Amino acid sequence: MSTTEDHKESQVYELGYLILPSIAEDSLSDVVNALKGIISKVGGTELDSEMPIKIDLAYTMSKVTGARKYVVDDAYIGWVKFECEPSCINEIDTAVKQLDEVLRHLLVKTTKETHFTFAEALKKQEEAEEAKLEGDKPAEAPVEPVVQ
Amino acid sequence: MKNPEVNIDHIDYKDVETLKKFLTPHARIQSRKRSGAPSHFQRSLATAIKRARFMGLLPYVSR
Repeated sequence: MSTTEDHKESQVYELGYLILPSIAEDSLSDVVNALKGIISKVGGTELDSEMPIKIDLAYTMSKVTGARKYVVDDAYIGWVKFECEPSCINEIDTAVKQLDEVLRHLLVKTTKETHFTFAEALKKQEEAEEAKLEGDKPAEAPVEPVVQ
Repeated sequence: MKNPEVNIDHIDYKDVETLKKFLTPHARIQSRKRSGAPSHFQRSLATAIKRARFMGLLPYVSR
């Protein structure tokens, strides 16, 4: 019993999840709310989160729910960062496993500060592509005076 | 040649663009000899790559 008391300090965790692509974009928020509901039910407090975005998976995954088997090449990926006691983690894990819409999930320890978001990464990637395109243009420009 | 990326403080399993720099063409994790990463970073990098593979962000194998 004393060991459970020792671990009463809360810890920051992150729940990363993949949602089946067959779910309509409008009902994505329902799934996200269900996930957040699980966390708050066990006494966790949400710190940060990002709405799911669609990605192409690096390999084909499958999930069997009841009599249906889903074989997918893309999925919605999102994450929720929250704080809770370490004893609650097992409960969250089993509850998320039972959600039919969730293809896979990952529970990891993390820090309070958010160092990465998909939105930022996409923005950076777009900027890099633009810079690359602009970088190509000046290389063509000096060709004209040479022609004269 | 040392990789300048090894000076990162935090590595996240979702940061695919950074993680990709530490993979070989066959999508295996680069050895420390090749990546030039300090031991603590190499360990967290390996964990992050394995997590990214599970979540379908990186492949397990690539031909």
